[in-house]
Amino acid sequence: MAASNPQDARWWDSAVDSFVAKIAGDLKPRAAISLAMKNISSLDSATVAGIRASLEIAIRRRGFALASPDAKASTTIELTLSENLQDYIWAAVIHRGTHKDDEEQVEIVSVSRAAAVPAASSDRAMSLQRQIIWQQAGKILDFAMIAGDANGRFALVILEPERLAFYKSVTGQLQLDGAVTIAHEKPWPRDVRGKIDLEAQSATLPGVRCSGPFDHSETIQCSETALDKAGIAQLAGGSVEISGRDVEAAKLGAVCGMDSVLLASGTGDWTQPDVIRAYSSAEQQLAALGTPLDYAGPVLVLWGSSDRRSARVVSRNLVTGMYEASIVSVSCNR
Amino acid sequence: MEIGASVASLDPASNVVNASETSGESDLLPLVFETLVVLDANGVPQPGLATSWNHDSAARIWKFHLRPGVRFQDGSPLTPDSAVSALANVDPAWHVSSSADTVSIETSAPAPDLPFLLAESRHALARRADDGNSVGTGPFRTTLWQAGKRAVFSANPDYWAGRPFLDSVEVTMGAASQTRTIDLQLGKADLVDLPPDMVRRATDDKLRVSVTVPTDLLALVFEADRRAVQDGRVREALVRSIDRAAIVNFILQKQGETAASLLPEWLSGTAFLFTVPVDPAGAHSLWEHIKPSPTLVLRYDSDGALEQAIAERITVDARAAGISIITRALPAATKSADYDVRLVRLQLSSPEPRAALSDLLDVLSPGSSEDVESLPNPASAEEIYNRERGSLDGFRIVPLVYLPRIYGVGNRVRNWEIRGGNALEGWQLGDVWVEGEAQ
Repeated sequence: MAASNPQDARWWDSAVDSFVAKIAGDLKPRAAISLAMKNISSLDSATVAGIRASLEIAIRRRGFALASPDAKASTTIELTLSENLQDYIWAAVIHRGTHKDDEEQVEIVSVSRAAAVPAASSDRAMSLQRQIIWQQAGKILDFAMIAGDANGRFALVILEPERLAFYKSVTGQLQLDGAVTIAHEKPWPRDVRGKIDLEAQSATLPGVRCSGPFDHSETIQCSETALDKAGIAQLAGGSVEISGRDVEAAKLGAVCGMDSVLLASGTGDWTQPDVIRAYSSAEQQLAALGTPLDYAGPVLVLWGSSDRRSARVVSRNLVTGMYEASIVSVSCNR
Repeated sequence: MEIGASVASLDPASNVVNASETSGESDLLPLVFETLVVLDANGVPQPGLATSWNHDSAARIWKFHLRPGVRFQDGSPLTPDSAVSALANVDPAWHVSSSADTVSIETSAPAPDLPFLLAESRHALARRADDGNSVGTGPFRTTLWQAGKRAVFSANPDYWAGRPFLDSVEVTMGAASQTRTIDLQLGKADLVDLPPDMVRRATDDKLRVSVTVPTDLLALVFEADRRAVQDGRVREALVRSIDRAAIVNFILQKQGETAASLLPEWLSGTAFLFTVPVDPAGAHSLWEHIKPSPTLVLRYDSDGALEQAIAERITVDARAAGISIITRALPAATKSADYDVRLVRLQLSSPEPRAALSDLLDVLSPGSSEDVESLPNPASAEEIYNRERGSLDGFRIVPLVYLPRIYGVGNRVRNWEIRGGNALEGWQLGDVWVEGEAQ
């Protein structure tokens, strides 16, 4: 699944339409309605406010009058925004009449949460920027972007434990263009790592190396290699000790007036949200710079790019369960 | 690891009646056994032993493509035929067959929720080894099994998803809750399950406590053929007398939730629509009009300390409302008809609302689960809600409280996690490691 931005569309609009259509069937034409809303879901207040505004417009469009909360309305709608694992659930208890024992009706609509997953926020004024390149349910070990052709199209290579997958951009969408199966005798270690080296046109996993021209994936060959210490160290990537723990790290080149900047992940385990933070490494002392970049799950891989201007990051989003490939770059606040 | 339950055997197909044993068994099963489909923390089906699946337009004929290179712990390969053998007798409504690398399941009615059903631990793939024991494909293999007492599981070096980080897992069963807490504190145990009343002590002692979403339902079930509870006013009076909040606050030490519906909020999203007011005065008034008034017999599981405490609390509330009631403790498996109402503890079987409701009603109201089967599949939240509401009308089934699973986790344990719907899937120890131990 390619990265998208569902916030561009107001995902709740169709739910508002079906919800108002449902309650309209329970109400007298031109009834005065008092609408009370309660949110017990994980939706944030801005989204709830947006839903409320859309509901009020849709209710008025149907010819109903909205009474102020203090006014006595013939119909009261108590709408609760709830959720279960799969869906957002909107449940309305409709009271007709002004007495406690008057008739009561329940109407429920649900909206798939998958259709409403908000995109990661990227508009915060920070010195680190993150661009999500790709997300998928299966494990990602590494990824690489191959520069565009004359038509501006680019290709993406995703290294997975069992294959090297090649995607090409076609009318703005990345589509699978080919895949090379990675055969291996023994099961991978549980924390298997792999690395793509674009310059060498190769991908390396523990004891296996796949090489060949990446623009002709059908010619790439994978073969077993010796599993020596140097090979393991190469796959281990960079690390730095922070708060007594070794964490993933990548060293970038000169930026913002500093000779170099170190990017490092947080100290949590695979069950926790994570961060990537920039550090200056002058005089052997790490000093945190700016605001960290929040991740909704562990940062699994952090490799510096060959031009030392950015880093490629593989993380797992604990909210969606997806593995995410992203590029993190540094910019200077002025 | 130390658990309170005494698990007799580890077999996905076993039909355990004791709630505590059910919980213990479902914790241990995923160490050894795996399912074709797994559910992620959001309850979405993901590849397990099947890498992909598809179905016909009616969702009656399903084909599951098996993951290549998987072996049972006795070394035999997982093949379509062995998967068929494991699933053949699970559900009489399924016709299971094999071809090439696929397992086909044909159901008698459309079953769009089949991946959810196949993710339940009772549908894990097991093979009867030459020594008569069941073996699975999971990250650990059983190296010692002393029924109800002790088990040792060792890392499966050929596990398809990579050898687990832990070399072995030793489980002591039937340990007293005090012992479990002390052993966790002393570092003699890295993971223990805790009853609700030990949580405060554990947190006071700065122990790490992991509480899941509610996984169990405690409910009252009135016996349909008992004369004493034929009058709906009798049932309603007892229900109105019970102070659920007091049960949660005092007996469960706030480690649970009051229940007025069968499915908890995280699973249905509509539990908040159900309410049962505490109304001892109303209960008293109802009871006064019942002539002659019966003496009710409340049965509970004699193996459950929690059940006993809750049953006693119910009788206190009932007697305060003038209701005549006595309790009777019987082992869960005992077949006896000499009671009017039974306190039952049930474990939710699935994070999919329709399947979970069906399995609950199967036990609480045999026969009525067919009504659930008649629901559209998949059913909307509104359809589930209406069916749930209908099953609670008349006070035959009375939800009381939801219980979570509670674990004390040693401070050196890393990557321990049970999130959302995974709470029903038991221990996932493949990624867990222990700081300071050579891995």
